[in-house]
Amino acid sequence: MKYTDLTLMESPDTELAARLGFLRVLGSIHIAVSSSSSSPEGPHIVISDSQGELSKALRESSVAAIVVKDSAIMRKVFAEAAEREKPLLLIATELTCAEGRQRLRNIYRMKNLFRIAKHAGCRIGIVTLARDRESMLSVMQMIELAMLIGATRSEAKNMLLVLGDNHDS
Amino acid sequence: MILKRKNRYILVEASSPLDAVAESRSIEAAMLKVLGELYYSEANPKVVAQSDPTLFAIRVNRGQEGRVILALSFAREISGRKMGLYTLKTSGTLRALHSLHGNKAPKHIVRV
Repeated sequence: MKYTDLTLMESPDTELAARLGFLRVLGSIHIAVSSSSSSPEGPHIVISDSQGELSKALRESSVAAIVVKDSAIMRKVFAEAAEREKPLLLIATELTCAEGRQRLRNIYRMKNLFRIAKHAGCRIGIVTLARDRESMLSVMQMIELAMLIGATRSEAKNMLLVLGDNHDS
Repeated sequence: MILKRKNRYILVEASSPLDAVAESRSIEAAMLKVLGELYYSEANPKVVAQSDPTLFAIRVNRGQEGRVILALSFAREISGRKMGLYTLKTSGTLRALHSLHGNKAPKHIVRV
């Protein structure tokens, strides 16, 4: 399986990623992560809580995927993403690196996000966006996290393939 | 009739060297914090063996391994040290875990 992870590290530990079950791990040198659709030149991922910004990003060919920040639920954006076949990414470290009530809030928010995006027919992926080695997770852990937010086991496995397919094309 | 208790063994890698057998209480406390008393008693996770400074095995009741894997993902600190715990494989026997993981996984249970 072409399980792919995305981190915020410049040069992620590929040996560790292979042990964790990933065929490939992308770092910030492969895909830039930005808060605006037009800043980087190459393939990039847009993180935003603005509906207008995300809609604009979906029209850009260089945007590989979108990430919805905070608790914004944007049905229109999800429908547009489904139409343009751009995936929505969920961030696993929002669950693992938060503590206590913040983690509860994040689980609730991601469950909602997953349910609404799935209903809109949007492709959904899950990545760690790990800033350090300690925040990385194995494929097994990512599958369990995806199941925690409401995915079935087969959906969870497909969520790990989303970025790999996209990055190939 | 004696009912046999079925277990699952989870192979875990720590991001930095750790004496998992000596620090089993800290690892179990980190899991207890996430699972809560009810789920912890159902899963009954125990550190059972270590083969490498970073590789160790956890025994759980069968059917509860998903929860323990989640608990290990959420555990960020062991004995006050920031640490990542990655679950690599699960198996029904320690011996199978050992052969599945290129003979690097622990082979025998260490009595803690």
